[in-house]
Amino acid sequence: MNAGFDRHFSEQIWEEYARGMRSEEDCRSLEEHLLICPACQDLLAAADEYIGVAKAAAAIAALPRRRLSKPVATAATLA
Amino acid sequence: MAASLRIQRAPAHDKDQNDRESNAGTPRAVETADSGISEAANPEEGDDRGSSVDWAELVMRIHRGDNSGMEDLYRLFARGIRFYLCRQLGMQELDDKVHDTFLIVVQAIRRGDLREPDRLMGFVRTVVRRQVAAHIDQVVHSRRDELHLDVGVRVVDGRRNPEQNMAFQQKVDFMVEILNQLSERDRDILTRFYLQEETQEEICEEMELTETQFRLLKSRAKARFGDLGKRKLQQKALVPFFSRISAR
Repeated sequence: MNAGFDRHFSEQIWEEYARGMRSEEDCRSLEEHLLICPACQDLLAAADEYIGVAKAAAAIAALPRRRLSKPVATAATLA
Repeated sequence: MAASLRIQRAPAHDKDQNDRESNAGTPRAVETADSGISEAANPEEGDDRGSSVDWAELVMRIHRGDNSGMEDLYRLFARGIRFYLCRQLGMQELDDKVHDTFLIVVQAIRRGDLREPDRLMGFVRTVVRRQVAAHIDQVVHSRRDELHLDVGVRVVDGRRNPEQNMAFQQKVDFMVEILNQLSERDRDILTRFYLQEETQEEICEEMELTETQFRLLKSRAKARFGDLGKRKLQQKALVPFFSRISAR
């Protein structure tokens, strides 16, 4: 594969790269291309951010849903 | 590699570096009909700048000390080197690191160490990676000396400023909202992928999903995230407008 300015990789591939799921050989080509392609730098930056957000959100969503205990509910009602 | 990586034509960029930095690549995301994979779309055709770069000629100019060669090298690689180093090491002393990287590349070319000029991109990547490795090594050693510990070393300074923190938290809130709207099964799939870092293959096998179903779920969640973000931002932009109206 010849990396150049006139071609770039998909969001899917950059997401896999960001998650460390591409082979060493793939990383070589991707990183060479990344050095000269602003469009792919933007795609990778977006993938990094989305992964960070999704991870943080998934951690929150995975927390057990807490219900208000009786005393708290009473306090809330009184307030 | 060639078979496993999908590539397509990039959006056109101005040759001017400043323009490139300000408008750098705004590829639109589209879904391909066959796979549901989000691919970077090509807003404009016809940019053949990449194929017009003659790496050997550029290396030759740098080798003989031609200033235009150095300028071109900087124009081509400055943003990328900066991006790579920043991503790996954070913002601290970034300018110095970028400068050091260029110095190493230029000195190596002048000494004639680059035997295959066509492999300039590969050479620059090697130099950048060595810079990253050296910095990590240095940080690990200095912290080990300071703390006499060899665990829990974090190299990238991931701290954000308060404004960035707020923006990030807002995005997390959007995403939580989206996750909570999903079925338990779909939420579980995304949690396994993003939080538990299971691979697509593992998830598909355990949850009896096809690759396409998995990708669709992922890309739909992403699209919803984008839509919700835009909607919220529009609402936010309208708040001052409505408060002005109501004050009249």
